[in-house]
Amino acid sequence: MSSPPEFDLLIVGSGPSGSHAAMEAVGSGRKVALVEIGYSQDQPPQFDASKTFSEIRRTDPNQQSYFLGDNPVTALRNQGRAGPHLTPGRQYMIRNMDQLFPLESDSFLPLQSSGMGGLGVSWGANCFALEDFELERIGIAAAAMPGYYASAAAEAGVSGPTDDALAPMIANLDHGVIQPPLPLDTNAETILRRYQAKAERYQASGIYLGQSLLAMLSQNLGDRKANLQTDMDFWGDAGRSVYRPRYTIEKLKSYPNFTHLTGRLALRFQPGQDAVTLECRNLENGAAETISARKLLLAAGAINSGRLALASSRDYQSRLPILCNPNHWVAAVNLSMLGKPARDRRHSLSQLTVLMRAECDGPDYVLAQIYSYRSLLLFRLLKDIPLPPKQGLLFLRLLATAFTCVNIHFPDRPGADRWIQLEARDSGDVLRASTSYSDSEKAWIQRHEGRLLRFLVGLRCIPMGVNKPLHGASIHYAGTLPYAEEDRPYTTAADGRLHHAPNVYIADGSSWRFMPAKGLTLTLMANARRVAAQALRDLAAEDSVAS
Amino acid sequence: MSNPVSEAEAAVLRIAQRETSPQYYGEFEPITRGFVFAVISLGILGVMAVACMIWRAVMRIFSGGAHQ
Repeated sequence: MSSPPEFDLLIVGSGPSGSHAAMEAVGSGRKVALVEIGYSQDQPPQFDASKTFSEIRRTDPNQQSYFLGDNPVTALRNQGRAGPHLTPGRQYMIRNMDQLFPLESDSFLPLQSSGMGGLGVSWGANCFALEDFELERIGIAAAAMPGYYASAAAEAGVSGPTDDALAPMIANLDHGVIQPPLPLDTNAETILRRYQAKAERYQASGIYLGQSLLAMLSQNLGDRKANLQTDMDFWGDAGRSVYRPRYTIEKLKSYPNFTHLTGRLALRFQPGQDAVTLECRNLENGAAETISARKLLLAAGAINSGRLALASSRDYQSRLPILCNPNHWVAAVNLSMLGKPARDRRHSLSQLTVLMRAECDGPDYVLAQIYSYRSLLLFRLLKDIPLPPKQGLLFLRLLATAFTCVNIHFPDRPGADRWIQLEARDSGDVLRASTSYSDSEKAWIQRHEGRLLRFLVGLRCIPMGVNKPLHGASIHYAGTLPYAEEDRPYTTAADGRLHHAPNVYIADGSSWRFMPAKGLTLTLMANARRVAAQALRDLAAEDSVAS
Repeated sequence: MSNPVSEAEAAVLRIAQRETSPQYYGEFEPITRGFVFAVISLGILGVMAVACMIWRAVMRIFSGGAHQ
């Protein structure tokens, strides 16, 4: 290498992993750079942040601009693929996705983000600190995690109860960093009451229900404001009360030793004994660029970090595993709320969380998040109602306050039929993917879904239908470069170093060899911090040897 | 080129535009006249939904037959 590397640490990706890895590293005084595409909102949704959803609906003449966006037909068609969180104001997250990250599959339809903050632009803000057995199964030493969980949660701002049925499941998160919970909405209150009346019985059968732990503020935190419960959380980021990784990126920019390189698509890396070179394409002028650093942290998301590893080796033969939570949506009617009014003030995100103990190669959970449907508007549901539009609308209005959405997530493990592979084409490399499940895996999912539905019936929430979106819609991906003790290509050492690639670290979920049903984002943040800290220690060790 | 907007999509979009217009707010408000009213109304609509499904199935069979 003719000149010294430009940076000590170069991080690829600005999502939950990349932003938190950078935040962990930047305090050390090392020269840290973060490279990303970094699209941002052209025009943030403009609405009065103090008004509730119903007030806005009654009074705002410009509401179509943010409720429907410029292209409501596309939004309607994308509904199954993107999920409800990807509202018009957040569509920039996947701008040019198919051109930037070409992926072909007839069984796997993931989202890949080109937006600043990665998939965190539209995450549901559900937070979990995994239990020791889950971390060990992923491949992360549990003992190291509580400190990193606390740092990640302090940065994100987490609120929720610390004394309900779910409290034992967040033992690895210092309760001192958790803000008090926001009030539940009327629908969730009735469900929780019914659970509590029979809590002992349910818990004896391994079913735990409590208020969701959310990266949503109930108290002001720095320049971010407590959630005003306007039920507009899907449509904008008023007061920044719901955490988005771009807030961390903005904070990082105030550090003189931090460099933010946007508008660049990472193509491949060249590892070396003293430094790593990253090859990028400048998206503004199409020019090829190289960036060098002593350490490279991949945090581009499991699919793209896997793609980068394959492209760097120009490997068109190997198949990498891929993990993604199968997830189903259940539409249910809470009989306790039928025909009754609900409080206007509420937040829009998950109200309640159900954890159901399961067995699959050891202890496990199936997760369900309970939402009360309102601010996503009724028209989205109309096409699924087997009635003419007018009568369908009447049907939905009658159910409105009782309508409950349940998002069920199942754990995922590597399988022989779930993989990604790079394919060379004249037009450029394309990632091919396949994700199919065996009959026994499908039966396991079916069985546990049935048990959850029966539990809901017990709470007087009557399921009306189950929607099974295309695989990939959970927006949770992991496992392409899994932890392994043996020194094999495309695997990661326990400390985060990518095997066979000196000075390259895996800071995102690529390294996970198991995907729990519980939301992964807080653990991604905490683990990225752990890996960044390891890279800093390695730099310090190298410097001390050199001196 | 994007697919043309289907009749069903156009109908949903018309409702979407109405739902996001303040002057039609009342048409989309939740109906909260008590449990009994809700159950009776939903029961009637449920019967209608079954009739609609049967009607659509019959139409599908006949229109399928016409193409053969």
